Amino acid sequence: MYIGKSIIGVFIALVMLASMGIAFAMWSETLRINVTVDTGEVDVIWGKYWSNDTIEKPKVSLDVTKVYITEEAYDDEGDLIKLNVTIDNAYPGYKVGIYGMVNNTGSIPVKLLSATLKYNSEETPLTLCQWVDLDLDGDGDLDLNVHLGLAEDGEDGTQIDPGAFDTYELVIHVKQGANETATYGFEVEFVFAQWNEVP
Amino acid sequence: MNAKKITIIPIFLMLLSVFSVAFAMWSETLKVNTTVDTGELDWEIMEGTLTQKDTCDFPANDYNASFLPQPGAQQLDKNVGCTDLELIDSDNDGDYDTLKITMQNVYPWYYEHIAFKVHNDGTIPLKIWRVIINGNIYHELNPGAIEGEYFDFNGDGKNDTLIWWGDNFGVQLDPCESANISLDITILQDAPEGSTITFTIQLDAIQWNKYEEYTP
Repeated sequence: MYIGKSIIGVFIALVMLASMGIAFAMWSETLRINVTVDTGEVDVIWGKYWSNDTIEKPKVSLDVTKVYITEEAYDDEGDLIKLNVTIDNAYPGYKVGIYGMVNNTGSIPVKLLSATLKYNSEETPLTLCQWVDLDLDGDGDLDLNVHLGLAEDGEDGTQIDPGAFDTYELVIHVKQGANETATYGFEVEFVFAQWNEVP
Repeated sequence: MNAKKITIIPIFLMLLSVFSVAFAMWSETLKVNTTVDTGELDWEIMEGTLTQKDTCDFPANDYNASFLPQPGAQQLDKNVGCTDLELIDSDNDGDYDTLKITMQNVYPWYYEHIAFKVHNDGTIPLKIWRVIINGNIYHELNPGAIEGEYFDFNGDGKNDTLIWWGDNFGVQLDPCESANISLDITILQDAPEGSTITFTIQLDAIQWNKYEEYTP
């Protein structure tokens, strides 16, 4: 009696399982998308550089103040990332423009995000086309003032596309408050960022 | 209370991650390191270039202002007065910057001519700018005139001294260059007897590129 009921129950269970297997055994096909993202590179370097010391001299044929621009630092890729400017034997009223071409050697357009002038432990933001007065020795007299601008180079000066360049002009003017036989030093840091992140 | 804290922490973490994304822009930095070395404006009276007519170092006959009001003098046949010259380094920088002139036992129409060289021993071109005589500033002294400048140094209302000055105003001296400076001094009739007349002459140079700006 009990054995017969059990056999029937097992049979019914097998039939139900078979019918469910038929329901799940539909045909199917899978499509896939394999994604590879190769990122670009934001990379800028100093290209050509020069000063206008020799071409904007006053009428007197006398080379009193000399300007030297040298290459100071390179990154791991061997790109020039830091210039060294030395202005020797300057005096109040002396003014010189330092020009540096910023070459976009990367693959992403860039824009100037910020320019900062650093001396001692101070940091002063530089805004394009504005003079900034500096009392570098802290004696209460203004020693220098500097002006950051864009030189006329045919470019638009707002965005540097890959392979393109912009030329920046840093004008340094020695003021009357500068001391004789003194040395004044400062550093200007330009940060260029991906074009779509700079307003 | 604990549930609120547990809710706030994920929100904070989400905000932090959003900001991280916002600040994580790609950028590259370029730098310019700048050094400005200033020069020195410096000049001096050259030792060994002092010349005069009537020194006190050895006996010499006096000179008389025979051509007044024009400059020039004739030597007399007596040694009565004399003029002593001394170079002084007043700021101890190794340069002679002051010429002390002491006239001893002089009298009306006593005449002295003093000349010397000034030398640019700095690194910046300079221009001979002005002369200050007892506080009076002259960017030119009797230009084009034969007569010199009359002074009442003792303040008694009467001129006691007449000075002529050379015309090197505005002359540019590049580093290492020099120029001649000369002055003539005549004691006038109204100088008081038995007194000491003291005055200072200061000769100023200015950096070459500021001469026009600061010269009237």
